[in-house]
Amino acid sequence: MSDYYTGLLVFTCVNIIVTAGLYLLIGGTGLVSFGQAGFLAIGAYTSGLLTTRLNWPFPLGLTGAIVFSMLVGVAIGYPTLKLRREYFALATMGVGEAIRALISALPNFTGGSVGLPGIPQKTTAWVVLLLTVVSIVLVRNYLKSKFGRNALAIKTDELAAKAIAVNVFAQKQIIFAITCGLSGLAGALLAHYITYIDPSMFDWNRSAELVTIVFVGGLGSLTGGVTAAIGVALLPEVLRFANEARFLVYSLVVLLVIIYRPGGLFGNYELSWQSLARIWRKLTGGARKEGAA
Amino acid sequence: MSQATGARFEFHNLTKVFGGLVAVNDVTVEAVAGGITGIIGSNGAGKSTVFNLISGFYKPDAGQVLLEGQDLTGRQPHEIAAAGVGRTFQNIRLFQGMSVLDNVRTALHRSLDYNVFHALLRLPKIRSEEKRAEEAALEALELVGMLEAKELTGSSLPYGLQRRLEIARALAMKPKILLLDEPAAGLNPGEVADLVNLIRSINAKLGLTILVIEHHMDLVASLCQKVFAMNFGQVIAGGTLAEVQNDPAVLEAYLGKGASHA
Amino acid sequence: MFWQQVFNGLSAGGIYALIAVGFSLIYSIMRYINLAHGSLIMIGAYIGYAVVTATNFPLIPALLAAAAGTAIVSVIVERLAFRPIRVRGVSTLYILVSSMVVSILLQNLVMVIFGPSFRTLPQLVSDVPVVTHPINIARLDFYMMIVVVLSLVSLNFVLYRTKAGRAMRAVSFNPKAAALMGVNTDRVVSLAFALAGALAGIAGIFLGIKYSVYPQLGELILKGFVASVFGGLGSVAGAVVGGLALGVIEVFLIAYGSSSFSPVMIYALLVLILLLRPRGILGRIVEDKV
Repeated sequence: MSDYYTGLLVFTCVNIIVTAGLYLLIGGTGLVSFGQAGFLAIGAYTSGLLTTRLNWPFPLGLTGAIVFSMLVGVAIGYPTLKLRREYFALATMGVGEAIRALISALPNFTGGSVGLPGIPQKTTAWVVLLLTVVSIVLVRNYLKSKFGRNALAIKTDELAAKAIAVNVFAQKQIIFAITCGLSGLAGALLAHYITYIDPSMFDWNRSAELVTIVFVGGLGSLTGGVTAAIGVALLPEVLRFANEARFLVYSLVVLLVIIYRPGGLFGNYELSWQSLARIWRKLTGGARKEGAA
Repeated sequence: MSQATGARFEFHNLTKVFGGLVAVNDVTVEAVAGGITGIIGSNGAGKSTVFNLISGFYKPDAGQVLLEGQDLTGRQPHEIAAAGVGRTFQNIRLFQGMSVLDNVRTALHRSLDYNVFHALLRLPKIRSEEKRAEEAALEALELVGMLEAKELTGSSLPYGLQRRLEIARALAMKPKILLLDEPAAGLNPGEVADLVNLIRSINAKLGLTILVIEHHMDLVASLCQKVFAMNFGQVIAGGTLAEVQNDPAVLEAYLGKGASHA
Repeated sequence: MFWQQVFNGLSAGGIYALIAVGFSLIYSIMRYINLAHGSLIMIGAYIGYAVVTATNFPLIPALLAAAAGTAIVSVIVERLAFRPIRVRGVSTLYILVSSMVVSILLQNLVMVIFGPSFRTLPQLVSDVPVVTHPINIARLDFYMMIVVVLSLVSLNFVLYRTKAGRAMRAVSFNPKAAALMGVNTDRVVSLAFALAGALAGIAGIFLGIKYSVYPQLGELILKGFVASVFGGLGSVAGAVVGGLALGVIEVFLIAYGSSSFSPVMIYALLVLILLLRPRGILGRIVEDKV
């Protein structure tokens, strides 16, 4: 695989992993985090520092990135998950910026705004593909369990959820920890591909982009989220001919989807063997009818 | 379904003040263990506030809530629900978009013996536990006579069935007591009659202690062994329905001054 | 020296207050977090830039032009990007996200039209300080303070003394009841967005003078968000108090702490306030009611 395509694959997969986690949060609890780029930064810097400064091997670096991102997620979630949705949105936005500011403010430790170079390049196409599939499967499994039902209950009616003994706060904590863990993983994979990171890569625009992916895919469909993540990663490449206008076109498309298709492109459709079989039957059934006519 | 039959439930001297306004004032109610107890009163008498205090959605300013002698006062709603207090809402609150079966299945989360890690890895244990959950959910649906509707979307059902579903969801938790907040609200007379039969059969089959808030006197008359009348946040009478209906304080509250000597 | 620092803080805070007021106005009336408010401010700066370079207007006509232009943009944004969502009655979450995308869209639009370069507004305010003793008060800061006070006073006048203001508060209190009472919700919402847009335009000119004009100028809105949380979301007066407080805190953090850690401390303070007193200094609503 050429470098160009490997790069495209890694960036796409990084988007998918973050999206899977963010989908769990937004689609599961109705809370929107506007600071997820900060958690990508935490993952990227944790693994980057562990592997360069302490010479930890790559798998341990990744693990460290996931664990530390989750811990920060729990710490941030504790004061903020009890608040109204608007407050959570603004608080996470602040947290994202605070993380970036903190990284810039510690030049001796993180390299500051100049960045952290020399991170070992370990993220191969196979590693990133494998971890992407694992991430999607984990989120899907969570949603298919009693925890997924609890999450959906919280999203649709928090009071009714409490009335059937769902500990809403604890469920949100678990979900936010998973969301942050996946963002951390994605950040670390990114760092170990591009080998150089600096705080400007994890700014508020990045957080915003990640949120739009989930909404374009639809709050009711993980399949939609994953597809949108792929689309968003590839669209700028497809629109390359349009030069500066491509981000304009992209944001216009996203805006139209959010305004006129609030269910997202996929609504509640979920890819599964059954749904594939159904489509297949429809297609073949249709063909047979055509043949008969 | 095996329930601890006839749980004792009582609350003493419950008081709640909203910004200077005493919404509930020193209310004491002892539910009939294993029976059906009614709380009646006009709009704004504080009945729903009492339920919200019992189930933890509001924090009482004073008073005590006791289930089987266990003090539930001031606990979080989910803790109170977990302790065995099931409830429905006046304006039916189903989980929008979920199927009838899933609405009920969601309420079974505490009886499912697996944790987050099992769930993420989807270990074999999950399959058997989920199977058990489905059976328990179907059992609860059967209890309210809604087996055939299990695949339908809960919120698309007619009002009477939505009410039943909400009851089934509360029952799936295997509560020790059941709080019904104006269950007949918005139902037509036929649906009310069905509901009366349903509540009576649940009470008989499970020996469940039931507390019901209601305007609908027919429902109260045919179900409740004991009735408490509320007015302006206070309990003004308690006893059998006949006793309460003839209580001078109640007559005055309902028919106005002068009614007793008219 | 101490009072000079306080004043420097207040002058920085004046900017934050100016940013936060319009944002807070929309939240208090519509319960929308309008993330596009920052981009509207940026648009205001560009309108001011275009008008002043074309006509050589002095400060006050330039302010009026930017206010009018941005008000129109703000109303258009509401009609195209928020109204369809509101009419459909889906969660305000979608409006939040829609406003975020609008923000990115406007930024890219300006980028395509004007390019990424920094532009300086011609000098609208002289460099001569208003006073130099006992503390130095720059003319720009002085004007800004006056404008902040004037906007707040006139906003209060509109909200509490006019029929339109009463309608706005009715809508904020209960949109359905207001509609039943014959309030034309759409018009009220447009009016609120026009007011917020005008405030954004005014803020835009001052930001443009202070920091020059560039497509990412709107990112300063982050400080505006912090200011409005400090003061209490949904309280316009709170936004001003929060903005001034933020400015003073920031100046003192830099003077007596470290300049590189000041942003971290500000956001840490944000989270701390959310933890200890989520309704801020003057706000009310924090949790959803039963």
